[in-house]
Amino acid sequence: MRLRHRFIGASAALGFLATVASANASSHREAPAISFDPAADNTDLWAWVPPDLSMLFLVAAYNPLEEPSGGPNFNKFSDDVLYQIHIARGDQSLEDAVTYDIRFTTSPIMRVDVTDKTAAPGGGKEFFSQLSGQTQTYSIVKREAGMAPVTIASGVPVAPSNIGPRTNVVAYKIAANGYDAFSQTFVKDMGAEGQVFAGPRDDGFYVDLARIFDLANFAGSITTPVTSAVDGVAGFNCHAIAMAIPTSKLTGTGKAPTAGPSDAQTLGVWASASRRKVSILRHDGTIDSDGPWVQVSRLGLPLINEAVIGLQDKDKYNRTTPATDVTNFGGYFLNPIIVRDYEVVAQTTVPDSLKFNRTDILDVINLKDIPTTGAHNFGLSVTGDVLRVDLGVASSFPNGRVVGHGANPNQDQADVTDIELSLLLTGKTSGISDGVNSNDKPFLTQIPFLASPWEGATQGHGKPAP
Amino acid sequence: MTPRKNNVRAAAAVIVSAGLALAAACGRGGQAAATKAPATGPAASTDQTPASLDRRLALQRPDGNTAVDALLTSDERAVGLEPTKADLWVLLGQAWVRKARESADPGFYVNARAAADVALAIDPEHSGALDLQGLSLLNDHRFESARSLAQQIVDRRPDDAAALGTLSDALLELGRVDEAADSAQRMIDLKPNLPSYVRASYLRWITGDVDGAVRAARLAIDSGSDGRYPEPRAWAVVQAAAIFAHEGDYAGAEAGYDRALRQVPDYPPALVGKGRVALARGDARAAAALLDRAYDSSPLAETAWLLGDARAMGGDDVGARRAYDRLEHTGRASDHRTLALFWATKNVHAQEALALAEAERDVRGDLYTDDAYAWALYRNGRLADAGKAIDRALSHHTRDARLLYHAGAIRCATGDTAGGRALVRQALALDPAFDVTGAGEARRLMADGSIP
Amino acid sequence: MKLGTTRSRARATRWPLALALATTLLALGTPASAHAIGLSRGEYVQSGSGVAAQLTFSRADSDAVDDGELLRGVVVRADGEPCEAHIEGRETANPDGVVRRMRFACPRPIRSLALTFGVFDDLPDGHRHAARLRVDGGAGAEDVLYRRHETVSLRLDAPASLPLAMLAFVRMGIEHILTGYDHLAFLFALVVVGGRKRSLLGVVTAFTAAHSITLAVAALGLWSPPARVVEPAIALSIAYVGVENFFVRNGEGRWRLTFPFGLVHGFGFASALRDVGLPTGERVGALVSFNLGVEAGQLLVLAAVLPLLAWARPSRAQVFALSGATALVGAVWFVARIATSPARF
Repeated sequence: MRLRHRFIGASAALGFLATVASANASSHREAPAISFDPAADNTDLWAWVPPDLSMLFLVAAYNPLEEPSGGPNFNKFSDDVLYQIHIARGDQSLEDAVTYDIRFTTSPIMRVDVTDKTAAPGGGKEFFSQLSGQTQTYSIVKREAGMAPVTIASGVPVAPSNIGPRTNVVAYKIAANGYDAFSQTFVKDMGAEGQVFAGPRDDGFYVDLARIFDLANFAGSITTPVTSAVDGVAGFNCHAIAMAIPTSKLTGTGKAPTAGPSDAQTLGVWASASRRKVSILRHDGTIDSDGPWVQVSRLGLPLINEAVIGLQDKDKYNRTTPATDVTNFGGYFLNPIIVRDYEVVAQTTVPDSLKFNRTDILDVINLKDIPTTGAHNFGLSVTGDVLRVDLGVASSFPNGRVVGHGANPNQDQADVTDIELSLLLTGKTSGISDGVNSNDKPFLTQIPFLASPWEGATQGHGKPAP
Repeated sequence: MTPRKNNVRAAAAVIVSAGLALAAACGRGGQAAATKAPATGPAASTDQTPASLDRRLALQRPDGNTAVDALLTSDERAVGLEPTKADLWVLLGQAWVRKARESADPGFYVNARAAADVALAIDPEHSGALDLQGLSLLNDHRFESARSLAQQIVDRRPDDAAALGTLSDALLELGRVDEAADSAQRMIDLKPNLPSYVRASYLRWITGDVDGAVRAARLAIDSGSDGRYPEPRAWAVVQAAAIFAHEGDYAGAEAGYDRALRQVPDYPPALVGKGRVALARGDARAAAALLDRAYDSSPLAETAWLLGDARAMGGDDVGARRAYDRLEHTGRASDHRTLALFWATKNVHAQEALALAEAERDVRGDLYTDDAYAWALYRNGRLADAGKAIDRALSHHTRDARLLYHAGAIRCATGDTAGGRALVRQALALDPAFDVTGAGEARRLMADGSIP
Repeated sequence: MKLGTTRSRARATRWPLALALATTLLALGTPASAHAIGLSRGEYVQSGSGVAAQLTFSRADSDAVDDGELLRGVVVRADGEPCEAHIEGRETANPDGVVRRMRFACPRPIRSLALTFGVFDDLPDGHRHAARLRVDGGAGAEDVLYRRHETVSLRLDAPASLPLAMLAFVRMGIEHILTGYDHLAFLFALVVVGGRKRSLLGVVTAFTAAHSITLAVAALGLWSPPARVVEPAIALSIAYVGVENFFVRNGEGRWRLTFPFGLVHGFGFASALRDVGLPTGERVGALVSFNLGVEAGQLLVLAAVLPLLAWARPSRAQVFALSGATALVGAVWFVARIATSPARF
């Protein structure tokens, strides 16, 4: 169909037209089909009760692998996302007993004349967003089944990014090395409802990411000792919402939990992120912000979407709730693909009992015989991807998941990667390790528990360490 | 020596001769054998079947060292470890799509398509692989095939957001705007994210809802904050900036293009947009420099057109001719609609322009194809047909000065001077520098009533 | 979707069939690798004195490049030197493909062979060319070429493995003599009459020295007579020796005759070497290696034939018969070569 370069005349056009219908072209107008949305991406969830059973501590993390030196527009929570923490209770239902809706609001940047060089910083013409005077705050609405929603916090400031010593002095008006203490001041007391914190934190997960994405091809595999494992999330931050909620607010009775395991006092915790759908053709001029929310991400137990759900169903998983997990994804839990992958990749033979009908996995999720024989007996109808926390028992994964748990300057926690992979691949709760066994930064012993975020100026990737 | 023994020996001599003869017979083959290479090098696979070529393409080594190249390398390794797992081939194909977009080289869709073909050979109903095929068809501008495939995927899996996106895109190109909006609505209802928001934004814009388009674009930008994969957000920013440009807000548009360029350095669509803004402001040199850069990495006909306009504006007629030659060259090879519109706009090769536009209508029927067709008809003096075509193009009330000007000029030519002048005035008020040639004609028309 | 609700149920039941159909059409009918738009394939095979190329395009893409553009844009380099390109033809490949054949004439490369597919500017943006470049029966390289990556190279050896390359020329020399039946026939005719070892040695040495001289003269490009003279002359030499065998009783003094005939045969070897292609970089080394191979092959044949003759001790009549047959063959070749000259058969 091609015409010569020098084609001009109409006669040549005839030859052109004979085949012109097979036009092939690309104008690069194609809209993106694939995109990632870290601001609405759950990366992690911890929930646990300490030995005194007084509080439920919750940490929901978003925005995976956040680069500390990501200026000038640093990562933040999205104002257009609804962040939620869902808490189901008892053995009757996985529907929410209590829901916390967290919404963020960023103050608009003032519009000033950019040619006015005399205006003081804070007017919005700055290149450095931390000088713009722009702040982000959030509110929390608590919704309990059968009760009117209650706003338990509003206008709470989000901890700002850890940008560097000069920002600390100039913008935050604190000591050059004062960020850690400064960020602690963003813990908000909500009175009887507990405490809350929202802001950037060190990503508390530790895993040999490079190798886990290489089909769980761990340096250590099952038998070989680990020498070269790399913590793939070391040095990265996330954005976390941390809460400390008096357990009496969650038992449903208004009273403190009774010590000892029970299904009735066991919570099912999960976190989600939602975005608004909009009406595309607004012939009636409706306003977007009224559009209903659609869940785009969720997380209960760690690594379920990553290691259990197949590629074709990941969207569906993110869109649905734990209550329908057995119906939708039961097959994935009972016949985990990763076991068959492992068999191929590790060139080993895995017995069928580990490949098919893995009710043992469901038992672990449902805390059957955990922590003691006879404890817990959830039915299939209330099985789903939730983090079970028995309010009557001091937490220990898989009963709850604790941030900071051990010696080694408080860098250890239950190594969920190792536990889950061991469970999936061997049927036991230990034996396989990714070789990364502690976090890169000490956890805190108080809310927000996750360590202070890495500093952009000196600790970004590709920058010299301090 | 006994005679018998002699005979045996003679026979032996004959056998030697026979050996020679045999060697002679083999002579020809032997010649070929003698050409064996004294070579050492990468082992040659002797297999050149389509299936093997698909694997070769899918596993092509990436040529750079960006994040997407690292991703491709790791995906290729994963596939190598477990080549019978369709999911992994699909992930590899998705990485190739990403590579195609980030490098502005649509040729990498060939690799994506090949990866999808391998996945489908393993699992013929893998929705992710079928989605990749749909993308590849769209990229090839095989809109009817893309629509048909996407429709089948959606019939089977009504919640496949990617297929709904492909379906919407294909329907839009085929001129079926309402159905395209329906598909995009289903997509956004399932998964409000950057891909669905940008489609919402564009559909709103072409249906005349500028505020809504900007709002949806903001949501798109907000939902694409992945610093490791910035191209989709840059694309959304460029789309938003284009809306500002169409509204004549060149400063707003430029801020957007600059933002996109900060996210993806040298991003060709942003360079083109920025060049267009410079052209609108009459800064020929800046425009030519920007468009030159854009054309270098992404040789699109539209970019060559603008580059030619920029050079011509700067007085470089030889350079302009060179750019227009590239446009005609590229247009013939892969972009008939742009070439048709170019010829019609410059009022040259009217017949060929019309022939091209007519042929393009076999492939797609969206409003810009109608516009190119209308303007080519107009240049050929077929005013009634031109009027019908431009009415179709404007039936969704798209706020695009070029369409308004074409509609106005066609009206004036058919005798509806008042109606026509109103449209031309509207066009110039909206975006006074929408196109060097068109805007010039429009101003002359308003000044002295001269119909182009 | 307006149509969706009414159609989807009916379609759902027909889905497997419809999907199978669509998949077959889309995935198998035009896989990325068949004559898909935007992807072409190229097979470039080095053999003899050049590279034969077969380029398969989709029809739309093929129409975008004419022969002149192919000749200018597609470049094969042997040891860095561009080969002379020729268009050999164009044919249709079902269902919608076009095969374009090209040939690149050049000396046999020794270090590298490279292909540059420089016609991307003529093709729609994003075109891919899956190229496979190989030496017939030997090494190969494959790559997918595109606008910013137009060249695939085949490194034939590193300098360190040069001896290996030379060894290949030795082998080529051996193969040439072993399959070069006319030279063998000549040798056979010379030795079939028998005689003392010393005289045989003289005959063989004279033949070797003579053909080495002319082989060098011709292969190094100093001078070479046309093949239409050399080839019939070789045939004539065979016929002559066959006839002469009726008049000599043994090989005494025969070396005087074999020397001039050896000169003729040397030109024959040279043309064989030219067919193969002498590497541009390593002419002398390759020539010596090739010649060594020829000698080795020759000795190999003699080592087999002479003991056999010594053992069989053919009678005078049998020698006549064999010589007569050889002379006849030589005569036939002579006539044939005169007739079909200049081509070898």
